[in-house]
Amino acid sequence: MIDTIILSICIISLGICLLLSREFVKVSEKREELFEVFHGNMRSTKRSKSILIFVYVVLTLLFTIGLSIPLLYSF
Amino acid sequence: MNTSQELLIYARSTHWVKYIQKTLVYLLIACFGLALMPIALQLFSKAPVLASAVYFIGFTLFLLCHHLLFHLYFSEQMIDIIVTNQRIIYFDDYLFTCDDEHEIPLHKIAAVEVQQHGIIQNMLNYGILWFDTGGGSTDMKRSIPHVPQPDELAKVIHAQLQ
Repeated sequence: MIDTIILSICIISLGICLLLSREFVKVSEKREELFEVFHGNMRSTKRSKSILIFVYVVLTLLFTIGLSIPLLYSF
Repeated sequence: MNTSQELLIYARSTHWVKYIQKTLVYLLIACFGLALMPIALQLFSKAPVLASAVYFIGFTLFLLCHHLLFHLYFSEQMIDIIVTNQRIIYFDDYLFTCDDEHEIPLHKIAAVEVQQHGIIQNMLNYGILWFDTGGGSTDMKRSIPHVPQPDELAKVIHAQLQ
């Protein structure tokens, strides 16, 4: 029972991570397109966007998997 | 509006102070969730069912706050104030929940007003930029909150108006 709940939480957490990152990329790409229309340059924002997504994905994996291990093995 | 001749003059994100309030709330809840986990491990020998429930609540709270925190950063991190030689665009968007875009053509602006109230706003140099587009109303729909260095932006807009 507890295994199923933990697995569900992990899947939901990773799903949220995927959805949020995808939405963020979509919205920022829309913003970049607008910038290109105005002949602007968004190079620095593109880099910070990639770093932010990377940190988010790594932390999500770390927290989701790392904190579910005690639930699986201790209880 | 003729976008082919439209040139970017100024682009910036609103002031970082916008993160503080929600970050503190989420961190507080995350810490509470995290604190529940060792309590649950201590409880395990006495009441295993209660311990697993407490750990589950702590785990869920912590993960929820983690996602909410990044949702906030993703939503607020983007550039949301854009000034071109024809208009001012202000984005008020929040991923999945809000997607507002306010646009004020420069020819409609009669005056620009900078509002910086309180010690924090003056110390951190941010404030509200309000645009007088005529009609005498002072509704906040024609304003941009959390503008970093609002005087500088007002100068940029004044230069474009002349």
